[in-house]
Amino acid sequence: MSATRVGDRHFRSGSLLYDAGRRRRFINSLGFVVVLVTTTVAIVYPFYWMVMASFMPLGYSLGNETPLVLPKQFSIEPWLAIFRERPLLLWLGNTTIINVTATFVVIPVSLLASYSLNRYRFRGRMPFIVFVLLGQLLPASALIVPLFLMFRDAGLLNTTGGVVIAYITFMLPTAIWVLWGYMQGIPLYFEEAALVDGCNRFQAFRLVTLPLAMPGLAATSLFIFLDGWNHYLLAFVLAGSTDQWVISLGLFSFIGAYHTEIEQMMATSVVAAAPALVVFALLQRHLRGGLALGGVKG
Amino acid sequence: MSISRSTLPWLLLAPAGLLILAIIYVPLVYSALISITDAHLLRFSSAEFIGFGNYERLLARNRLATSLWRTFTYSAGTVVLSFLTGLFVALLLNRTTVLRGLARTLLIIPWATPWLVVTLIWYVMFNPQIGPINEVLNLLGVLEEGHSWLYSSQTAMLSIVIATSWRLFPAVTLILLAGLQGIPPEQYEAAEVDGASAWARFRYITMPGIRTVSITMLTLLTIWSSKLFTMAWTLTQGGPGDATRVLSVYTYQEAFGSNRLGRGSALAVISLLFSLLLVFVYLIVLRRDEEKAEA
Repeated sequence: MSATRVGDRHFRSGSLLYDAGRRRRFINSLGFVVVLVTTTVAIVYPFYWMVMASFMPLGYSLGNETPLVLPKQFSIEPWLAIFRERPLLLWLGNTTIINVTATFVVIPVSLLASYSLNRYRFRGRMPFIVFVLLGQLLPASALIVPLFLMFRDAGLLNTTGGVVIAYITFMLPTAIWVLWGYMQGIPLYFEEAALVDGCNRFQAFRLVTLPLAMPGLAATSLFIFLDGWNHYLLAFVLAGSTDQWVISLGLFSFIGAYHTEIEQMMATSVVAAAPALVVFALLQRHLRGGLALGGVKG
Repeated sequence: MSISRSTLPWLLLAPAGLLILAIIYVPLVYSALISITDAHLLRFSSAEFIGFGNYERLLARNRLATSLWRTFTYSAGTVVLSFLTGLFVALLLNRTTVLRGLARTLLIIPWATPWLVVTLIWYVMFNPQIGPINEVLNLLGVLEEGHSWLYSSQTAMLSIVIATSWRLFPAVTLILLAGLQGIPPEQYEAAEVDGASAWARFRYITMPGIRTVSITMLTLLTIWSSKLFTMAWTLTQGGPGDATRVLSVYTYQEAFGSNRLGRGSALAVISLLFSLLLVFVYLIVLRRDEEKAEA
């Protein structure tokens, strides 16, 4: 039945129909290119504009027509001004210390937890999973009042340590989820084989599971590290004084009641976005290669 | 070995469990306790028990209902826009192999940009004086004068939905693209041989193929967008008026703007219930979907 239909179609595709088909395909691919270009512009343009605006002379945006592609004059003055007028290096330092410390605590802690959830079946396992899942659902805004009070009473307000503790906790549920997924891809019998060969539990973990989990750990670390830039509300409420600020708080110091220093703000935005983008660009290829998990799949 | 088999798993869970307990669940209970007092930031020690007074006062006003509605609008708008855009781009990229690598890299840009930077970029994009959006609309002849997107109650919500979706849709694209590539091409070839239309192919091959991953993505988008504070706070401070006062912003304003910690905490408890409701709805959808798939 279907064979006749295919034959029919071939028979009917005379020259006229063939031309129509080619024209339609051309219009299709033209439309495809137009849509693709539009989408690309929509993705890239806001980002491009930020970089461009950071190279305009100070105050350029106030006195001139909005440049869409390139400004009439260029200047590196915004870049000099932000380091001169704001303690940018201090804020960057704070951001790095907080994110790196938090990542270094989160990874081993979540590794232990996801290992336990994957390898053991015990009473209370499901409740613990729900406990973590709900923890991830709670919005920071719902917890910020008691956290503020608790940190104030414990003397942790306006300290780097306080912000780190808060960051760690809000990163943990996500890290446990992501790592759990990776650990599920590592079959139990690898470890069992090591046990049979005379390893103890810890050796089996260190020599077999840990190396296999490395790509997952790398991906999770990256994910967590980047996520550290986004816990704005926690930093906003828990780190009140300027010298404890992270870069995201500093960004807002350019928006004034009467006028906003667009050029400086955009330069600082580039500074704030750069670490995340660079880390991602460098690790992206490694990550995708690592995700295949090599021998585990076979 | 001195550690028994049943304590080891718990020992491994302990660090994570204790941290989550101390920094997420203890504050949660604390929050519930504060919410039944008249606690004020400046005279916290003299807070007194007032029962459900805060809740009654909140429920008696329109503000809470408005804020819930804003949260819903913001979340629904963001989920729909970022999912449809994400799906659309994923379908485009699925058709071509030439640009896929480059497109993946470009897509990472919004996704790897910190939220705060995203808000500032869009703060400038929407700016009535210097924003490129007005400039382009002006050139196209759509708009005569500059429109203040963020400061007009008609467009403020739309603006923050667009900005939020710009940041979120690449995640949708990347994940759906992986799902699309998991669909065996033979299915499409067979359908084409049988003369199935493009719509039929989409409806009966593509959609079932990415159904599960779509539901997961929709759940994540809903959770992310309903929790988000940064966008609505930094772009519009919940305004103009109450046009973008989502729950997270309302909570912050009551607690730290007006220093009414009690009422702020009551709002926190309400927003918790709101998130639980969302998750509950999705669990029902997911279960119904599984039953449908089995049937």
